Amino acid sequence: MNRVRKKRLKDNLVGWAFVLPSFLILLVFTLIPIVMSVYYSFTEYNVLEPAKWVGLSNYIRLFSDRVVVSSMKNTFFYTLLTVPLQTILSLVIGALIAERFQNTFGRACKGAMFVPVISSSVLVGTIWTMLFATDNGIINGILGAVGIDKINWLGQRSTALLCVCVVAVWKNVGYFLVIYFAGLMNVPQSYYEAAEVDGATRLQRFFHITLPCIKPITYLVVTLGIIWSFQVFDLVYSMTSGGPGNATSTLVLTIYQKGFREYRMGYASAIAIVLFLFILLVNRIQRMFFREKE
Amino acid sequence: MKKKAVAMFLALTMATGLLAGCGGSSDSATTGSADQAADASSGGEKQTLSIWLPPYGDEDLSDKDFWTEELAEVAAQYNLELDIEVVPWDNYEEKFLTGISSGTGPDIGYMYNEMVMGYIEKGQLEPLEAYFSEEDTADYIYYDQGQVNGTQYMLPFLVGNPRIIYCNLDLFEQAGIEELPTTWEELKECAKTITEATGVQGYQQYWGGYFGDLDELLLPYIWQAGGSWYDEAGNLTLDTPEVLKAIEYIQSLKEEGVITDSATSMDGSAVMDEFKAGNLAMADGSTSSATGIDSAGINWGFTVLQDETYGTFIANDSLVMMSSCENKEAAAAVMKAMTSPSVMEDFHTKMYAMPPINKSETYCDNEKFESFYEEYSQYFHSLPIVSDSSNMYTQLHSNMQLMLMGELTPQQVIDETIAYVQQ
Repeated sequence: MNRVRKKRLKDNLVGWAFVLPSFLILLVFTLIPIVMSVYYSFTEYNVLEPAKWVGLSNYIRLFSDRVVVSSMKNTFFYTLLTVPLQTILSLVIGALIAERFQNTFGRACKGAMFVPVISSSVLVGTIWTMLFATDNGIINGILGAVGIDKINWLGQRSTALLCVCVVAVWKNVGYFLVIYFAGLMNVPQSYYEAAEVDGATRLQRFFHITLPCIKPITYLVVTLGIIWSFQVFDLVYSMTSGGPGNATSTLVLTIYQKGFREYRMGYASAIAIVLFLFILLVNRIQRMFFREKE
Repeated sequence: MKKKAVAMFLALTMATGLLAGCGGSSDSATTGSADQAADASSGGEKQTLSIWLPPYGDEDLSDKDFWTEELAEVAAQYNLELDIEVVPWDNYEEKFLTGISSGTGPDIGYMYNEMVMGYIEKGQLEPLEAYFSEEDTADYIYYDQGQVNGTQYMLPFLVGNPRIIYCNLDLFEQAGIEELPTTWEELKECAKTITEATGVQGYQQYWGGYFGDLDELLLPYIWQAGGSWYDEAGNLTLDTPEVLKAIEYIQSLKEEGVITDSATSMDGSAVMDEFKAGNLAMADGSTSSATGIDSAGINWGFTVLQDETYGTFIANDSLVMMSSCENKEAAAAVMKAMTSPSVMEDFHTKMYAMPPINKSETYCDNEKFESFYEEYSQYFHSLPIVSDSSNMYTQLHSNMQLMLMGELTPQQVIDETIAYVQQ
């Protein structure tokens, strides 16, 4: 009995020793910062002076702060537009390549669409800003050739956020396309053959075989898409800096501005905690949705 | 079994290393610098003096190389090892904030007016009076401008780069205009006349950038109207007829079509590119843009407007000594060396063209601006030194964008900005 206990203890120690390095990294760079953020969110803290406890006042203030409220609306709009669009586009293009273009052309397409993914967001933002330029931008140049007046893409409320969304979709589609493509290649060919024998059309095969088989992939794509959308910062920062007005400011951009421009770390932490709760809530709803369908 | 033991040993070593890495740095740093101070004072090991500066160098001559060479003599004299760190503009304030708050800030720093007040209030900056005699400061032109509430916290280092309006003289000539505009109304008239006569846009502003652009797009107009937005005690005084008049003028530029819709999406470099390409007759900019305009082959002149008076923005960036500096005498000596006439002449010639900060220094900036500096210096203004002013400027800039999009009136720009700052 004693020997068994000793062996178990030894095994446990070995297990802990293996886990310890990763756990320490997680503790130092993730868990402690989260706990500290929660604490700071209840304080007034400008980094140079000790934090001062202010209770819930940061949370109460942020829901009446028009900059924060506007950022919340923009973030939700951005998420609602980009996530479905990039999911559908990557699925459709992935399915097309998997079914029709498993050749050099298909591989070239995949490669070309992956280039924006590995490009720096700031670089992408800068290039697209030039494309969207009102006076000498290529997009307005093309529109002008067909008689359409110049559009002030990034300088008016109605189009600025839309432009950022378009660029985000363009940048992300390649990544999700590769994930979908891998998933599509794992769907057993025999399912399609059986369906074909039963007389199923191409559309019926897609909706009744492909989509259910790649449901876990879709869950991953949607989850990642939502998290990325809630965290969007660099594209907005490089394209519009949140303007004009607050038309394109997002929650993470606001956190950055409050924290590192205005030195209101307590307030910025409170917004970060609210963002964290939003992501958690959306993820729970999403999990319920996918589980129910199963 | 042996494999398992080796793997476990390695894992534990990594964990220990991680813990040691996280826990040991501050202690060792403190001990190290204390030892160095003791050694240096006894003429032993060199003491490290850290200096944080923004980038002004280029590929041919880096900031670090320039300052290492220029300060070699004073470093040898005080037995110093200079640790010169060039901080990119993008995260300049963040670097100072995080560095100083974590005790890893510099001994000597370069700060601009919007930055300093917070550090002064927290006692992070050392008053300089004790280290600078009257004789030391006799040659400085702007020494007094480094005072905050009667105490000398800053040593003016880079004073100049006033905001002006560049004019394309060829386009003016084509439009038959002989005199450059000097009043608000003349600016509008010139812009309209040039557009009508040449088809080239007369004037454009850029509100698509960041709040620093207020330095040339709005603040000069407020000074010209005879107003200000902070009083001497640092209270926000935005709700005045002068400020309203300036904002209304900007709105009228948009309403009368002098500036186009794209003003809300363009930034400073986009407008300057248009000017350099000959697609724009007048553009706001700073004197430092002159070299680029010359290179583009534009035949240019410049003007500063007046309403009730003249007035424009001028940069006033300074060197500061941190209270945490362990060898303040040596730091003061390095600051004196950095601002000496010979070093400044080299700096203005090799690194960044600016007017002199010493009376005995030779003028090294563009010759077109020499008489401007002499005649207009009383109309140059730098930003008021007020705590948390970035918040106000950010909000004001954002509200100005909303006004240009037709969502706010000029009075609402003022009211909304005040309300937000007070909140």
